[in-house]
Amino acid sequence: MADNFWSGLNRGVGGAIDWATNNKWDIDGLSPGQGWNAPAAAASDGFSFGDAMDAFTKGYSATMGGGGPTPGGSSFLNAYTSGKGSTPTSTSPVSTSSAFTAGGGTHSMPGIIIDKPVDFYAFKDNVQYPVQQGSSSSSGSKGGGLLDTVGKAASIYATVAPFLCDIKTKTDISPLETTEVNDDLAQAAFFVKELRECS
Amino acid sequence: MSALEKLKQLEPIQFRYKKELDPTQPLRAGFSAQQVQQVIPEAVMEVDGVLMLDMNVLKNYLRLAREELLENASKS
Repeated sequence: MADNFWSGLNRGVGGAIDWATNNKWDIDGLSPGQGWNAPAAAASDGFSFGDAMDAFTKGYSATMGGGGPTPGGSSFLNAYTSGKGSTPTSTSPVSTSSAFTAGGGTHSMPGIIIDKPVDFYAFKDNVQYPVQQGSSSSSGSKGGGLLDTVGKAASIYATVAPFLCDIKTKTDISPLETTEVNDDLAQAAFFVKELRECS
Repeated sequence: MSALEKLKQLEPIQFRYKKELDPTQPLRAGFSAQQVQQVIPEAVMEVDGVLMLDMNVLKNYLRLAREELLENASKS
């Protein structure tokens, strides 16, 4: 029993390692045709591992083409690379689900549904940026010195209210994943996030 | 260094403003001014010892990056 268990484990895991290393390692002590053999098993229904990888890469590119997983700046990079960046007009939910054909069958990959389309306007000319909380209108409120400072800066740089980005004013800081506020700064942040992820 | 390369060096973050600044504290997306200052110093201004991001400058960088992307796309 124990011997069967360990030998089975050896064939399974060892065979997988052998396969993953293109048989440069021989963990299970069996030839490539014996033991665990992922491609052969996957090909039993006509859908091979190679097809899966191909489908994955196609699906990934299709997903990136239709919009990314990030709210706010999700379609920035795609829009700009396709030359439509400055005039986003999508008003309906966007699904990036994709179908593909592999191994003689049609398969579908779940996509990401963006149920709240975003009007990208970071690159439009003459944008009136929303006034940040604590700008001139609330100067002198209970927010104290920092809010007064924002108001002061807004008056100095009259056209666009500056964003309070000093690390001292922030808490719960972590790498960007999502946001509850979709302002210009958020759009810029998601744009940069996509740039970094796609480079 | 191109605008695109500089933008790639920025580190997007999510954060909340401290409660005394923003009582509702929604989760926001943005950058740390201190980090931006290391990459694009002209995009950061200091008022009364507090760093702020000048969106005019950042917007120009985004526009330049967009042009680079379009140029790269047209080449390929």
